[in-house]
Order: sequence, then structure tokens, then C-alpha cells
Amino acid sequence: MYAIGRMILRRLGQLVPVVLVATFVVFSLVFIMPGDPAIVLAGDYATQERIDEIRRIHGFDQPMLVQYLNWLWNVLHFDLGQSLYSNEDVAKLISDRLPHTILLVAYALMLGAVIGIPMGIYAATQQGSTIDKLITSFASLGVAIPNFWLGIILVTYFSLTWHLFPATGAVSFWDDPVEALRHATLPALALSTNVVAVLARQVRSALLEVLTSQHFRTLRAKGLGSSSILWKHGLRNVAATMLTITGLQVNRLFSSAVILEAVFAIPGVGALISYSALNKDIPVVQGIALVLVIYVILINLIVDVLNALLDPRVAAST
Amino acid sequence: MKNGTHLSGVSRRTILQGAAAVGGSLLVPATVRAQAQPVSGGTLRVAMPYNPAALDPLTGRNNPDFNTLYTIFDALIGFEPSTLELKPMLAKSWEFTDPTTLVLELQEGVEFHDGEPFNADAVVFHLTRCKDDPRSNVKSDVASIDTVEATGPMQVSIKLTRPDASLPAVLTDRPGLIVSPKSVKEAADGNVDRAPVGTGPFKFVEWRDNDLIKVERNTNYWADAPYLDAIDLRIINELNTAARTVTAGEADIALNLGAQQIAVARRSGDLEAEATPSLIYYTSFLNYARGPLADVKVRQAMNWALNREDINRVIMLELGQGHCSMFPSGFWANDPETENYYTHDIDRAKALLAEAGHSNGIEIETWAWPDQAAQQRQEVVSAQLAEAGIRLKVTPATPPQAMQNFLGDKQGDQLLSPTGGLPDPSLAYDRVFSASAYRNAGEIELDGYRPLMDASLSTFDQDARQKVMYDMQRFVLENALHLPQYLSAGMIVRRPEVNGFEFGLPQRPRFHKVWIAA
Amino acid sequence: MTDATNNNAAVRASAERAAVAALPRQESVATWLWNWLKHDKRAAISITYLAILVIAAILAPLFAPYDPNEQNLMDLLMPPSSAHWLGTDDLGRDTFSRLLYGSYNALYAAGLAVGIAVAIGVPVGVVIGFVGGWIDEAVSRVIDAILAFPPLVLAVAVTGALGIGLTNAMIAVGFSFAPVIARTMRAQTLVVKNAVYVEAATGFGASRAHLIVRHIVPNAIQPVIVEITLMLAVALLAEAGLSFLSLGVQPPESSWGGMLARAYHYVEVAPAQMLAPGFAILLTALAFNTLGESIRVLLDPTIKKKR
Repeated sequence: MYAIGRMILRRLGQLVPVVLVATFVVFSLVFIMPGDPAIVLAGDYATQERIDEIRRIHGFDQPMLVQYLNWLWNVLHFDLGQSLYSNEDVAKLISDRLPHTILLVAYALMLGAVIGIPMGIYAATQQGSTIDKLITSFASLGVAIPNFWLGIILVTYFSLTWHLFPATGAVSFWDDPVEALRHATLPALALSTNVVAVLARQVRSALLEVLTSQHFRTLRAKGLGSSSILWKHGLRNVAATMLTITGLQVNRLFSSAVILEAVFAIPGVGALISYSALNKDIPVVQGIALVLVIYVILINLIVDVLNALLDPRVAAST
Repeated sequence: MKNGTHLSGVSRRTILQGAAAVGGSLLVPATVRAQAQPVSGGTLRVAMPYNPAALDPLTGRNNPDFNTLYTIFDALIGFEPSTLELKPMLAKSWEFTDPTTLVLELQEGVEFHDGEPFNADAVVFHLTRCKDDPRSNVKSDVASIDTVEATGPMQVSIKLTRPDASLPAVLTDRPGLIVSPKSVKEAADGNVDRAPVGTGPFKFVEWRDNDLIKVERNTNYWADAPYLDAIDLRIINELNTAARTVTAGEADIALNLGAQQIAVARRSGDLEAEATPSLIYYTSFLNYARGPLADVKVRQAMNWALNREDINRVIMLELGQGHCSMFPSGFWANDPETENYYTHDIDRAKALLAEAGHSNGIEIETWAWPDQAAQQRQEVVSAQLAEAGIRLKVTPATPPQAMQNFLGDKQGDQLLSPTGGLPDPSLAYDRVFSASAYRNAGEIELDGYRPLMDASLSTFDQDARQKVMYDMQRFVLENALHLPQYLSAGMIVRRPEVNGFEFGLPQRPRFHKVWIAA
Repeated sequence: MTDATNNNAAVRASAERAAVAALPRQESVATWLWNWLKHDKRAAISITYLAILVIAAILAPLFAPYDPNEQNLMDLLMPPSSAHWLGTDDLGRDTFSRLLYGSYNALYAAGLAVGIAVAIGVPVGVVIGFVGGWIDEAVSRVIDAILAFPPLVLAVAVTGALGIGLTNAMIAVGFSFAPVIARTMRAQTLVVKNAVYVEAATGFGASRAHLIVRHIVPNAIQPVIVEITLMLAVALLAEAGLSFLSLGVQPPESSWGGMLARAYHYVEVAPAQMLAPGFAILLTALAFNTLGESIRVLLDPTIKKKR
């Protein structure tokens, strides 16, 4: 337990520099981007005078470092600022939109687990059989398939042809959980292929490790049924695998979500950050970057803590 | 014209005076197609692709904002949606007492949503704010206004620095949408971007950014009560998605769609898909102050090389208009004589190019937006120009980048972009071709332009003004000041139960008379 | 970000084995390749597919039945026919020809992105692993920071900064992949640095540069080779995604992702248009992945048992 506590402290300590570096990197990137939001802000029929005025109002005329430090100073006062284009509070913008993305990612992870783990277990117990081969091949497909293409195909058939699920949009989970899940099902399914594939593969090899171990043979010799051994001893392996993969997949899922949100017109942060980045809406980009980085790091931390609880040796090595 | 929706009668009425109509008669929608009796009640679920930048009319900037703005705000002067003929609204009547004085008589008994009375002081406060507020985006619209004075409790006199015949039309636009002075005075920094208070038929309830805007019936509305209880305007950025929400029954009407969605909806049959003439047009802004496009022959060659009928067919699925005017056929300022000034004539284009000394072709540096629809447009235009030996070297860039590069830093020769939608034709020319116009990258005016522009602003008789506009249209075409490609259309898909909706020429609908059949 | 590379023990084990048993050197490359592919059918199929794709990409002008950019505004969104094997797109262009030409962009994009990732990631990883100390600590924090970002989000931002277009988009993707390679390379370097023969070389007074170039890189690079092959698939998918968002290949040039984006626009009218580019992406990514797995097995024979 002591080791775990120390690990958490160390990791939380690392959070600060990582967040600083990450937001600074993003700020610099967006800052050096060509283009001038003031021109857009000035409207369809702008005048030069108006554009200059807008630059002054927003402080675009100040040096980059000053602008970054201003942003940082405000963040320390819990103020993420407002979107340049909509004047919406960035904090509110994120709190409105992040739940859609989180639902999508969490749902995809869950689907991945529900589909992938049984596949892995089944493949491991039937090693070498046709079904095992099928599952392994399926797993290969799952990693290679473009998620957004699968999304398009799902929309074409399940929504536009058979009308089983809504084609697009999202509903807040807190307003109507059933509708929210119905809306999120197709995108989550499209998003989950990677998780399904990786989990099926990893669970399979984790279990095979157990099945081929000396320990397993000993237990078998003692007359225990292989399924009960698998259940008892394989489970820990599976749980550990699942956790590790969750940690690894989370930001990859966020990545794919950027495009899937575009395909399914989900008002999540993925669609927002790419739009805002391209249009130089710096406060929004910075806000989302900040939240995403903290989020991804915390998830990885939680994963590592849980892993350490499962296997205390891990704590010492991470 | 194959889309079958022609404009109704052209207004010949002088705009010097507004009809002194009162109350209900002016608010009957022009086309109530359904025979059934309107019924009250229900929430209209609207899908629209654009999140407004602000719901303060002064600080917003994009045309689709009006989908929401006209629910919450009334304008000083209204207009007939299909002709832009001006009509009384918050101003019962208006009159130019001399070329530089406009006097407005205001509607009595009107209240803002916050209970404040609407009167001359409110209008003075508002127009002053248009001119002076640092965040005002409409300063150029009211540039001709010198002073605004309350010359009676319900009378406002606007003194101008120069004759401005476009001003009444401007008062249908953002500067005419009167915001409650109290709401501005009470807001922090006077910022009412997200807390709009007007006198309109609906009251603002909430705005979840990029998601939903809710308005509800103004039970205290000064004119006929609106039929709808409420409107939910849902923002759905992707056009197909927006249209599908109607197909799926999740919305009643989808606005600002593209031709593709109209075609799909028409195939399905159980929805109404409408494409009506629009003031939005697609063109290329040209920098004709320097480089290859300084030569009028090159600009003309580009215009002859385009096959606008094909463009309209492929991109608009024949729902738009493939001619080279800035206005739709039938609009009062559009001269039917010259709307097809340029037709598809590759030989002529090549000949002009050769005369200009480019017999081996020419390369034009071009900026274009990076989205799918813009890419498609640009591909078709590029291919057509290439046939005449005009090769576009295209750099895709987001609007802030492209505009800064082309308009700010004066890089490149042309920018492909939609534009238009202004309520008065003088403004439509002024904001693109006047030397002061930000869209005029070269910042020059060709000989003959300024007298026409001045005449268009100081001619108050409608027939005489129409003549000036015809001359202006010919001037712009002869000098090939831009590369018009096609007129867009106002495109919507609605459930048949939705009645009384009219998108209108400027695509600025009022939902006042919309009702949902049971 | 393959699964195995995050398992420290596996990395160490494979690196140590690799250091001992590198690629066979006695036989000719052709014989060796032949033997490998004879035993690994999946690798054989993948390599064959990729070889055909490379040839198709290079010789597209010979094979393509039409000019991929030639518009025929009278034949829009035609279904597959004998004249147009895969139909035509929204501007009447031949889909099969565009698919062929698109393969060049796909391969170029994947190669460029991974090349950039390697060019940045390998030197950085080796140097920080070798030097250690505060430099290692500082650079590792930067790597952590970049890795904490969803890679595509980072790529979108970098593309915006550099300007929209295929090459810039792929520089962006390469930039977001580089930390992954740097991290693997660093871990490998740490392992190899302490290996007996490196310590021996140090003892003989070899220079740092000599050590890195002659001993560390060759011995640490093998797991990276697997990672590179797998990364080609991820880069390909990223290109498709960015082109789908209109940030990659610019018109009139064709790309599979761009074709999908356009096809999605017309999905209600011509649903078949979205099939071919999707399968092209899927098969190519599959080929890279399968090849990567095969190379992994080749370099680490103990895995074979588990497969």
C-alpha cells in the first residue's frame, strides 16, 4: 500500500509539468497558425478599422508569451475564458460537450469488453480450432478497419435503410438515458472494433499463458476442472489485461471519436476541438486540451493504481 | 429556369414612404399555401446548421443568425419575403423629408420582453449603440447616419451626412432590430450576446451553444399573437444530418440545406422539400488592381469560360440559377437583359486570353475554403476554366486564413466564396466593389463605378433607382469585376404539417405565422 | 503503441534475444526471404498484396482506364458498369481510376508519416536513453505531454498550423507518432546500454557517437521495426481520416479518405460508391498489420508458440 501511495503522489507531481508543457505546445501551435480570427469576427462585410479594433479588444496584438501567461493566470483563477466566435464560456462549452464524448468512449469500451472478452476466452479454450482462427482473423480486421467507414456503413443500413437507430445526433444521458444510449449505439459500435480486437487477442494470450503454465497443470493434476481453474486464476489475468488496454486505448478512442463525431454529427469535444483549432479559437482549443490531457493522465493513473492493487509488484516498477 | 418558383410581382412602389397600414393586415403571410385554418399551439422543432455567433443583432455577423434573430426581434421596417418590398413593422411609416433626413413614426403600445416600453428613446439608444459601441459589427451599415434624435415620444428623426436611399432597407437588417435599452444597460459591459431582449413574437429562453436555442411565445405581443407556443432551434452542423432529423421525425423543419438534401427528401416523397430564389450567390472575388487579373480581358475570358448551366446542374441539381447576375431572376434590381451577359463560349475565352498575351494559357492563384462542398465547387470551376487554358493554382484554407491572406495580405488573385444576402442592392455592390469594401482586395474602383454608386444612393424614386441598378449590373459585368458562378436557393425540408413558413429572398424567416397542423 | 512494447519485461527479453540472434547473414537475402515466406503464409500474402499495390500506385497511369480527374458532368454517380467498373463519382469521374491513383497517395502518406516519426523518434529516443539525467527527464515529460493527446487531435492542430494539404497533414501525423517511437527506442537503449558487449566497448574507449551508431542503434532498433510496420497501418488510417475531414489530399487529386467523404455525402443516392475506397483502406491496413505481426514473430521466435 505504501508503494501505491508513493506512486500516486509521484504521478500527480508529474501531472503539473505535463499539463504545462502540453498546453504550451498546443498554444504555440495554434498561435503560429496563419489566419486572423479578427477578420471573421468582424463579419461578412468588415472594415479594416473594425478588424484592428477587434484585435485590440481580444489582445491579439500582444506577444505570444504574454497571451499564454494571461491564459494560464486566468486558468489558475478557474476562468477558461470565452469562445472567440460564440462568446460561450469555455467551461460551459466543455461541460456541455464532454459528456457526449465520454459516453461515446465509455460505451465503446464497454461494448469492446462485452464482445471482446468472451471472444478471447472462447478462442483460448478452443485454441487451434476453426472458431479460434475465425476469432483471431476477426481481431485482425478489427484493428485495420477505418472506424468512420464502419460508421458510414452502419448508418446506411441500420438507420437509413432499416430505421433501427437514429442516423445522427446525440441526447444527454442525464435527460434521457435510453435515448442517449440508442443514439450512441451505432457510433460506439463503430468505435469499439479496435477495443474488441485488442481485447480478444490479449485475453486469449493471457489465458493461454495460464493454460500452458506449470501451475495450471498442477491444479489439473489435483483434479480441478479446467473451466473452474480458468475462472479463478484466469480472471486476474483478464482483469489486468483489460485495465492496461483501457489505459492505452482511451486516447486512441478520443482520436477516432473526432471523425466519428463528424460522421454522426455528435456535438462532442472531438468535433469541437478540430473546428476550433482550424479557426484559431484559442480559448476553446486550450480549454479542451487542458481537460483532455488531465483526463487521459488521470485515467492512466487510475489504471495503474488498480493494476498495482491486483499485482503489488507493478507499483514498484512504474 | 427549371425550379419553377418565380418571384411574385416586382415592386414599383416608391420606397420614400411606407404604407400606413396598421395591425393585422400587414402581418398576413404572403403565401399561405395550405387551405386549412391555422391552429395555435405546439412547439416547432427546427434543425439549422449554424450556431449563431451572438444573438445581439449588433455583434453577430452571419446571415443564418436571422433564423433566430427574427423570432426574438422585430425590425423597424419589415419586408415582403419574396420581393423585399418594404413594409411597416416597428415603424408605422417612414419618410425622407429631405435627401438627408429620414423621419420614422413608431408603432404605439409595443413592449419589450422585459416589460420596458418601446418608444423613440429606445430607438435613439439603439441606433446610437450601432454607431458607437466598440463591439458593434454594423458600424459600416449606419455610416451615413450623422445624428439620431427623438423628435416626439413616438417619432425619430435621422440626420444623414449624405443622401442614402439604402437606409430604409438597412433598417430591416441588424441595425433595425431594436434591443431593449434596459437589458443593455443592466448587462455587464453592455454585452447582451447571449441574453437577447427584443419586442418580437417570441421570447428568448435558453441557448446551449452549438446545440439548442429555445424561444417561447410572447403572450404580450403587440401585433397578432403567434400560433406556436415555442420553437426549439437545434443546431446540427452537418447538412445531411440536419435533413435526416426531419426524415426521422426528430425535427419538423430543417433550414439552410444544400441541393443534395432537397433531392433526397424529394425522392422519399412524404416530406415537403422547397428551394426558393435567394440573394445568396457564389462568386470569386478578384484582385483586379495588379497581377494577371488587372487585365480586363483575362477577367472576361474567365467569365466566358464558365458553363453556368452545368455548374447549376451539378452543384445545385438545377435548384439554383445558372446566370451571371448577383440577383435572382425577377428581383427588382436584376436586369433580365444582362443576366445572361456571359454564356459558355470557350473560343471567345481563348481569343480574349490570346489578345491579353496569354495564348499559352495562364495560371491564377486561388484561395478556396477546405470543406467538401467548397472542394466540389472548386473542382468544377477549375475544370471548366482549364478548358480555356486558365489553370487555377488552388490553396485551400479556413476562412480566417484565406481572408487574411487574400484580403488582408493581398496574396493571390482570387478567392472563391459565397456572398450576398444584403437587403439593398446598393449595399450588395458597395460591400464588394467600392474601394472601401473589405472584399475588394485591390482597393480600387474602376472609372465609371463611383458615379453609379452615388446615383444609386441618392435616387429615391423606385423606377429611376431600378434604372441605375440596371446600369450598375451592366458595368460590373462588362468590366468583369468578379466571377459569378450561380445563384443559390433558400432550401428547406419540412414535414407537411408545418404551414406558413416562408424562407424569403434573404433567407431570413419570421416564424410569426407558422403553425403546425394537428 | 503496440501492446507488447508497453510490457517492459517483454521488451527487455526480446531485445536481449535480438542482440544475440540478429537476422541471418550467411544465406542470400532472396533465399532467406523465400524460406521465411514459405513458412509464413500470412506474410507472403501481405507482401504480395503490398507489392501489387506499390506497382499499381506507380503504374497507375498505365492501368487506369480513365484520367482520374476527367469530369463527365453527364454521367454523375453511375452504378458499376462495363464502362466504369466501379461506377462514377459526383462529378462523373471514373471511381476505379481514382482508386488506383489514390493508392499512390495512400502509400506516400503512410511512408512519409512513419518516415518522419522515425527520423525524429529514433535519434531522440537513443540520445535521451543513452545520456540519461535531467535531459532524459525533461524530454520524457515532453513526450508524456504529447502522448497524452489524442494523436488525431494533435494532427489536426499541426495541419492547421502548417497549412492544409497531404504533405503537411502527414508531417503532422508523423510528429504525433514520433514520441511513441522515441519512447520505445529509449526503453531499448536503456536495455542495450547495460548489455555486456556495450560495456566492453566502453571499456575499450569507444567514443559515444561510435557506441550509439555501431552498437546501440542496430541492437535496439528491431522492436522498432515491428512498430514501424504496424504504424504504417495507423498512418494510413490517419491519412484516410484527415482526408475525410478535408484536411489531407486536396482536389482534384484523389485519396481514399476523400473519396469516402464525398461518397458519404451522396450515400442515399449512390451507396455503392463508399464500398471500394473503404475496402482499399481496410485491406491495406490489414496487410501492414499482418506483416508487422509476422516480423514480430520472426524477430522473437518464442511468440510463435502462442499464436
